[in-house]
Amino acid sequence: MIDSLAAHLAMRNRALSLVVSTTGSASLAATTTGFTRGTGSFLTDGFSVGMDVATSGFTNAANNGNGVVTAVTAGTLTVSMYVVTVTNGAQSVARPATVVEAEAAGRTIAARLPSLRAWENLTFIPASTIPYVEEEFVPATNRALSFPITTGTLEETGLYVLKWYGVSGLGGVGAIRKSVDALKALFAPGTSLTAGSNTLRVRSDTSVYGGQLIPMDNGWTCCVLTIPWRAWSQNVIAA
Amino acid sequence: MGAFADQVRQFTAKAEQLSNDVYANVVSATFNSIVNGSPITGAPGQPVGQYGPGYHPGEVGGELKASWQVSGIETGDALISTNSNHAVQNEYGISATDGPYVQHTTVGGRHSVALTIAGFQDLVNTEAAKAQGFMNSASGFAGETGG
Repeated sequence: MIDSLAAHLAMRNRALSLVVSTTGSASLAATTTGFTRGTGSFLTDGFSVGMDVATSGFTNAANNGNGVVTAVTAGTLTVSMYVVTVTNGAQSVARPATVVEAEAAGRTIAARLPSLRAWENLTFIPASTIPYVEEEFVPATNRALSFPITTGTLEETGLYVLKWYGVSGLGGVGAIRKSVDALKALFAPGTSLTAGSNTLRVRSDTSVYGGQLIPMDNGWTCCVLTIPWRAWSQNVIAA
Repeated sequence: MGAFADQVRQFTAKAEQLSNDVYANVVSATFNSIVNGSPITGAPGQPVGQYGPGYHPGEVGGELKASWQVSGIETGDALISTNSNHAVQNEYGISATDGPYVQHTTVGGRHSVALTIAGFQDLVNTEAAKAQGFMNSASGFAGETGG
């Protein structure tokens, strides 16, 4: 049988490698409401209102962190920075302002998997107006495909489900659709992932699909990405 | 020659009947996979049963399970649907309120539609294999060794 934990983490790690859009290493400045650039374009780089971005490379620590894009033009990215901390089960959300910093090279802003992640079986509290993602690893079938049964091939199938919670009413469909499409591309049919001593493959007979946007009554709009997977392993019957 | 033609006609009629039966049985198996769960698809089925401690004590659920229905089998365009507001939330495991989705019964689970879609071909193969066995048996071909 496959190592379910390894399989689960392989899928999660794949999701963690997501890059929806990025400036790459660029020359960027910070203002009190976000970031600017003299060359290049935030629009061309693919940023949309509602995206969760991570910033790095700035001299002032307050400009490095996570934020939600609230407006985009070619030269200006307006960002609401946030810091979420959980102490003894109590969550606090700070919204620090960015600090003015002159343009300099070697800085990066990237929209990735939201920094708030509801991994399975871990306590998670959503923070208002900050996107988050939730996962489910769903093992399904397991059957012997070949004989002899003692060393035959087992085939296991299941789903990995990622639920992207965008902020309702913030930026329309752009941020959620671009983000989920980028995730979908990460799990293209036939994608192989190493899971311990086995290989997990995204199925191609029925394959990854994203759902419609589901408006929820608590400030979120959810889009579900369903990834069917298949894995083969050698059957071992314990003595 | 007439006897052979009659045999072919009977065989064709039987094949058509089995084809229709396979279709109906696939619809039924799909419905059952979504609603009751299936070892072929791995779908857990819809949650139902005695609620968990502290949640509607003494009551038995089942509204979601009972909301699923099939229509259009006779027209060859079967539709499996639900009119429950909870169906989408349960399928995807998304909570109507802040915080995680919580299932209040140990029976059934989430993603039954997605798992049924993923295992649909296996459902078809299973029903076709049943029909194949019946066809062989009915036509007298079963056990033939040739020559």
